[in-house]
Amino acid sequence: MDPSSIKQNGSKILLKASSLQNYDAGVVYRHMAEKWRFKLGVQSRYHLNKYSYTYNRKKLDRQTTDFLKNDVMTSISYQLAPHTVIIGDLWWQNSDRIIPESITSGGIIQTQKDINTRTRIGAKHYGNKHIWETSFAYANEKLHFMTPGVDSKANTDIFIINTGWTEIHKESHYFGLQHRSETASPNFYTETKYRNTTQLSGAKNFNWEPDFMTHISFRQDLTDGKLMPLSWTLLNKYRKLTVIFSSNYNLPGLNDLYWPVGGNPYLKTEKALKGEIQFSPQFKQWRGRIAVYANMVRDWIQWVPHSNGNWAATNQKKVLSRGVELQAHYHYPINTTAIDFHIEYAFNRTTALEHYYDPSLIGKQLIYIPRHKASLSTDYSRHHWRFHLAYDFTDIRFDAADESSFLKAYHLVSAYVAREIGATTIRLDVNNLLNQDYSIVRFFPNPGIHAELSAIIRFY
Amino acid sequence: MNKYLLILLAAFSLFFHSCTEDSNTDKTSLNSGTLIVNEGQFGTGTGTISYFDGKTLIEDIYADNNVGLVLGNIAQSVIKFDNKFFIAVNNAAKVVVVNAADFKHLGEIEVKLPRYFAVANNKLYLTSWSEDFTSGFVNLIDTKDLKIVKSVPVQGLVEKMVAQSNQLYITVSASAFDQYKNDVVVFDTDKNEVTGSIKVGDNSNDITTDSNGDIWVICSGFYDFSNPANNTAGSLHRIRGNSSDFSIELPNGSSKLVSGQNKASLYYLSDGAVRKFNIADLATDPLFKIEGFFYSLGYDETSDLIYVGDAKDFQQKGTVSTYKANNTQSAVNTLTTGIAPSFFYFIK
Repeated sequence: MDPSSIKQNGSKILLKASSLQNYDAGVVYRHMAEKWRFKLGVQSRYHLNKYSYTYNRKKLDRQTTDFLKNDVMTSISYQLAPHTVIIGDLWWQNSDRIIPESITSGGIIQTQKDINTRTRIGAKHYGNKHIWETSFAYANEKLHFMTPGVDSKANTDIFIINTGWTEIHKESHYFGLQHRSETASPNFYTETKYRNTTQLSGAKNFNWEPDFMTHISFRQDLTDGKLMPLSWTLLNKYRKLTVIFSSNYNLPGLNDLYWPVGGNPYLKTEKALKGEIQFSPQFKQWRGRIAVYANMVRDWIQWVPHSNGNWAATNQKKVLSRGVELQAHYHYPINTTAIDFHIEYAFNRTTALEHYYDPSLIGKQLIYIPRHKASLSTDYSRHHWRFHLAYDFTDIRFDAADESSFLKAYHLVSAYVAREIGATTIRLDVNNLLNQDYSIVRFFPNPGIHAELSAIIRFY
Repeated sequence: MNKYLLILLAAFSLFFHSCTEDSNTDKTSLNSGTLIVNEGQFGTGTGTISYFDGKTLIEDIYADNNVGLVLGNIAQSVIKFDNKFFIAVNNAAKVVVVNAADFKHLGEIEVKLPRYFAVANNKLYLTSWSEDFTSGFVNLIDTKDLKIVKSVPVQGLVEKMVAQSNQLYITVSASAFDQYKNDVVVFDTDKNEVTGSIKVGDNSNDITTDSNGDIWVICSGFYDFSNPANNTAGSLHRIRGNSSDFSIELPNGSSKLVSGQNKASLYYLSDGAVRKFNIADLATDPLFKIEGFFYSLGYDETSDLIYVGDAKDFQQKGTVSTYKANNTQSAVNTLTTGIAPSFFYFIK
C-alpha cells in the first residue's frame, strides 16, 4: 500500500441539530488502495422545521414539514490496466415530506414521497495525449404527490449512453456523443410518454498568447427525430477581461407538457441568447469582479396561476434580463490569524419586452425577482477558532405581474463560531439574528432567529 | 407656553389617531352598491373584497376596516343576512362574518371548503366540499352564535343554490364518473334533507330564476384535460315543476347564469362572450354580444348594468367592466379590483 494514501483512508461523521427541530446524521467512509478507490456515504435527516409566526394578530405554529430523507451514495474505481480505469457509482435517495400550504389556507395536508436511484458504470482510458471515457447510466425516479384532491404517481426510467474524447494538447479539444432515452408512465397521463435525445457536443480552446485565449463549444440535440436549436458558447479572455456570448435552449419537460391540470402540450421551446463582460481586477490583498450581462429569452417557460385558479405552464413571449454584479474580497493574513471581507452587490432588471396577450405587462419586472441584492461578510480566523458574520439585503419583490403589490425588503444577519479540537470541528450557527419577519413567497413565512449546532468528527 | 404646546400636540395626535381609525365605510352606506369578491392569488395569496357604490371603488374594504387582518386564501362568495355579511373563504376553510353597517370583523365559522350561500325559509344555507373533493355538504348556519348547526352530506360537489317554495335547487360540479354528474339536487329546508334530484345536462354550473317562477340551469359539459376528444356539450335547461321541460345545447365550457331586467332574460358566458337568452322567445339573442374571456358575470337590477370580471393572468389585479344592455360596445365603467374578481353581490 502506498504510505501516502494512508491518511486518505478512514471515515468522517457529521452530526447536526437545529432549534427548528431539524436533525442530521451522516457518515462517509473512504478507502484508497493501490488499484482501488472506494467511497461510501450514508446520510439521514429528519427536519420538522418547527417555528411560529404572526397572522391575523395571533401567534401561530407553522405547519411542520416532517421531512425524512435518507441518502446512500457509493463510488468505486479499479485500475484495470496501466492506462485504463473502470468506474461505477450508485446513489439512492428516499424522502417523505409534508409540503406546507400558505398561511392563508385552511391547513390542507400535501405530501410528497420520492425514491430516486441513479447508477453508472463506465471506463476511462488515458492515452499520451487524450482521455477516452465511455459510460452507461440508468436512473429511476418515483414520485408520489398527494393532496386531498390529487393523487399523482409517476415512474420515470432514464437510460444514458455516453462517450467522449478529450485531446490534451496545448490547445485541447473535446468531442462527445450521448444518447438519452426517457420513459415516463405516471397515473395521470393517458399513455406512456417517451423522449429520445441524441446529443453531439464539442469544445476547443485556442491559446493565442500566454494571456489571451478563446474557448468555443457547441451542443446539437436531435430529440424524437427533430433537430433542436444549436447551443453554443464563445468566450474570449484577455488578461483580466472576459467576454462571453452564448446561446441555449430549454425543451419543455414532460410535466410542463402533460401534468394533468396546467400542463400545456402547446408549449414552445425556450431559447436564450446571452452576452456578458467580466472584469476581474486584483490589487494587493484585494480581488474583485465586475460583470455586466444581458440575457434575451424567447418563450420563457413559467408556471403561473391561471384559469380557474390552477397553476399552468405558459410561455412568456420575450423577456430581457440584464444586470450588474460587483464582488470584492479582501484577505489579510498575519501569522496564524487571518481576516477576510466579502462585499457583493447585484442589480437585475428582468422585464417582458413582448407579451402574448397583455401588452400592459411590457416593461414590468417579473414576479419574485428583486432588483437589488447586497451582502457583506467578514471572517476572522485565529489558531483553531473561526468567526463569521454576514449581512444580506434583498430588495422588494413584486408578486403581481403588473407591479401592483410587492413583498417588503428584508435584512438578514447571521453568524457562526467554529472550533477545531483535534480531528473534530464543532460549529454553532445563529441565523436571522435580527429576528426579521420575512417571506420569500407571500404568506409562506420564514423562521425568525434560530440556531444550529454541528460537529464533524474525523477518523483518519 | 409649554402647556399650550402640550395641548397642541395632544390635539394633533388625537386628530391623526382619528384619521388612522377612520375607514372608508364611515363615508359610505353599505345599504346599496356592489361587493366584488376577488379570489386572490391561488395557493399563495389572500382574497379581497372590493366595494363599488356606482361612482367610486374601495379596492379592499375588508382590509380598510380591519387593519392587520387578512381574509384568507381564495375568497369565494358573499351574502347579506341578519345585518351581517357572510364571506366564504374556500381554501382557508372558514366563513368570515362582518357587520353589514361598517364591515368590521365579528367572527369566523370553521367549515372546510365553503362555496356559496342561499337564504331559504328565512334560514341561511351554505354549500361546502369534503376535504377529498369527492362529496359535499349543505350546511345550515346559526347566524346569531356563528356556527354550523346541521351539515347534510350530498354525494357530489354542491355549488350554487336558488330557493323556491322552501326548497333549495343546487348545482353539482361533476366529472363523467360522479353520481350526480348531470343533476340538480333538491333539498327540503323544512326537513333539512335531500329529497331528490332533477336531470339536466353534464356538469351543472349555475342556476337562477325567471319572472314565470321557473328555474334555469346552465351546464358546462365535461372537460377532459388529457383528451379533449372526450369533452361533452354544455347546455341550458328550464326546470318547471320537478323536471327539465326545455333545453338547448351550448358550447363546452359555457358557464355563469344570471337573470336580466325584470327576470325576463338571462345572461351567460359562452364561447368567449356574454350572451343573452330571451325567455319569451326561448332563444339566444343573435345581436347581443359582449366579447371577452370573462371570469365572472353579474347583473344589477337597480342600475340595469351587466358586470363582467376579467381575471387577466391571475397574478395581477383584475378588472371589472359594466355595460348597459343596450350598448355592448363600450363599457360604462372599468374598475381595477383585487386579483381574480370572481363573484358579484348586489346589496339590497
